[in-house]
Amino acid sequence: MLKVTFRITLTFVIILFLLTVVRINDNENVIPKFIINKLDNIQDKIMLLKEEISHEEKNEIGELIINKIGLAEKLYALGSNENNVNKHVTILKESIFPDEENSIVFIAAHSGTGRLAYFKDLNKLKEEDEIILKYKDKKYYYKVESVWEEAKNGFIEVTKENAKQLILTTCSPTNEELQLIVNCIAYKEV
Amino acid sequence: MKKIWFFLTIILTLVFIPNIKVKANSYSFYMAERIDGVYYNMYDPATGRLHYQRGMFFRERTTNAFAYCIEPFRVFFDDSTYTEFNPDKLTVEQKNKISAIAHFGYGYKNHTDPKWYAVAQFLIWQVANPEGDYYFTSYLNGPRITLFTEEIKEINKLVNDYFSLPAIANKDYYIVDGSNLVITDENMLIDNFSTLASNVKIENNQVIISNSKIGNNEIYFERKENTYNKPIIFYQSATSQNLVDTGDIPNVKFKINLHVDTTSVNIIKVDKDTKKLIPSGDASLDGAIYELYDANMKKIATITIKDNRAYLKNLNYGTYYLKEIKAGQGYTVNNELIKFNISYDNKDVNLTVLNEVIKSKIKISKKYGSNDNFLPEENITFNIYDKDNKLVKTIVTSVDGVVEVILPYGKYTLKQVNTTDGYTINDPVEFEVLDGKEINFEFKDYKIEVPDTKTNFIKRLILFFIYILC
Repeated sequence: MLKVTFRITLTFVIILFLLTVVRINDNENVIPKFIINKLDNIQDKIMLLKEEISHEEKNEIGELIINKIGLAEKLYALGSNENNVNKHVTILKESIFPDEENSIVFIAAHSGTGRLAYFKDLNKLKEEDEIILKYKDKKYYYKVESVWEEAKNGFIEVTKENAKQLILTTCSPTNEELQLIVNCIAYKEV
Repeated sequence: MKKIWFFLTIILTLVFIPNIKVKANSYSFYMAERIDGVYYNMYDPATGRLHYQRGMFFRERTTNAFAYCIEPFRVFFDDSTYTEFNPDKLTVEQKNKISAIAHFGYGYKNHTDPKWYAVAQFLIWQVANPEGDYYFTSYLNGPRITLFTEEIKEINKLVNDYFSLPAIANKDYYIVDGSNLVITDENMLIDNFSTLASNVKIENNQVIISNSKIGNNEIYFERKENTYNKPIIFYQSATSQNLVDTGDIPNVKFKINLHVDTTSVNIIKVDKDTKKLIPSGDASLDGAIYELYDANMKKIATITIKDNRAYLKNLNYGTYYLKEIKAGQGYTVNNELIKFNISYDNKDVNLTVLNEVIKSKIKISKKYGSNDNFLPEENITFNIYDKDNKLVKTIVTSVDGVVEVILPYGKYTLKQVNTTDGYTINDPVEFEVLDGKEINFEFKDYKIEVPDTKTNFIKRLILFFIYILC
């Protein structure tokens, strides 16, 4: 009991310390890298333990695979707690799934650093790069048609094309004022 | 002395000239050799008398040339004096027919047996006095028998053929330059004729004409009957039956008129919609392929349209059919069977053939918003450019955010000109009209809210601890 009380106290002390540092500098870069990495490692291990609890409860519906940037992440149903940008890559509610007519799937994820920064390398995608979306026992193959950045204002503007479409979006890794958008067009399904 | 000679000459001239003249126009005939086994009976209905005699030749005393009797019920006396005459009592038709029988009778080609004389004589009597009844008998004044059936038939055929012309006689024929004409004579007589035209052959009852010159050509045909090289002469006597000898009958002539012309068929390919030679869109009227069939639907040529045209020269007269088997690029095949005729009064045929360009309806639907609330985008202008970046159409969306346009075969670029405030203009879209299928563009400009995806370390840390505590 004493150990638990001690752990909680120590945790709050560390938080207060860090908040103080941030308030002074208002810049997370002042936090030593080794601390960030250490915390990330700890966080990852705990997260992995938590994920083992039950996949079924998370309503897994598919997977996003981008080999070029080494991404293979599960997708969760709209409305599921796991379909959250702070947990996984996230399907936005405007999406029309690939087994439907005029399909357009919007997927967002974090860029930057850390375990949740699934789209940290999204800006490395070029035209013709391949993206695979597994959904309902089918694989939908997309090719990158265009990549662009637009002003970050909480919205993205995309034109629906005459094909199954996949839109990947994240914050620009190079400019905080911009939103990165990758427009992909399906070319086959298996 | 001179006077004596002069008078002698005058006297001799007066004495001999009439004698010479009489001798040149006088003939004497006699009953010559008999024809074995031939006996005739001749019944004269005018007198009711039956005459009968043996078959025998009449021959001229000096030349020994044979002659036929043309007065069956009059008696013949040897050595009667005969002179040439024109038998006025006979019609022209009778004279001609008697002449023809005499010509084709004894002595004509292989008619060397005396029976041909007997047959010819028999037929001449029938023509000279058709009222009489003439028949062969088995002996002198014997019973009626049938003799020389085939020989009678042969002479009759020769005579009838002589008085008949080939079916092709005096007709007009029309052919196209470079073609040959083969005419078959339905009367089966043309082999008896010849022609001086070097480009005309007569064989196997056909006239074959080749290498004729353009224009009207008269081709003459002639039947020459020069077996005897002398004319037929009729003889009369005051004391004996009249006679006719044999000889050549007049040549038979006829002509045909051969009209040789050129023909042409001009095929002009036109766009069905515009009625112009200029193709629509990126399509091409050239390259269309037609097959040409004759009246029996036998394929005789394949024609390709080039520079909107095809030309056929000197197609023979007749009925033809034209069928398109391949259209130019971007056009649909016209399955219509085009029938046309070429004739001497329709030598130059112009055909305008149509092709309909492949067209597609282009339907543009312009909306903006998100799945929860898409609104039609009204008054959005689109320009459509062809492959050469030339403006083809400008279209504007209706209140429903929709606009339609029909475009011909080709490559196009669709460019949005204006947009609703707060939305960007779509990128140009390239498309092709290839197969007539409707092309739909549904421009949905999504404007959707996205979560903040920038990693915030402090926020993450707080969440992490809350996560642990939970």
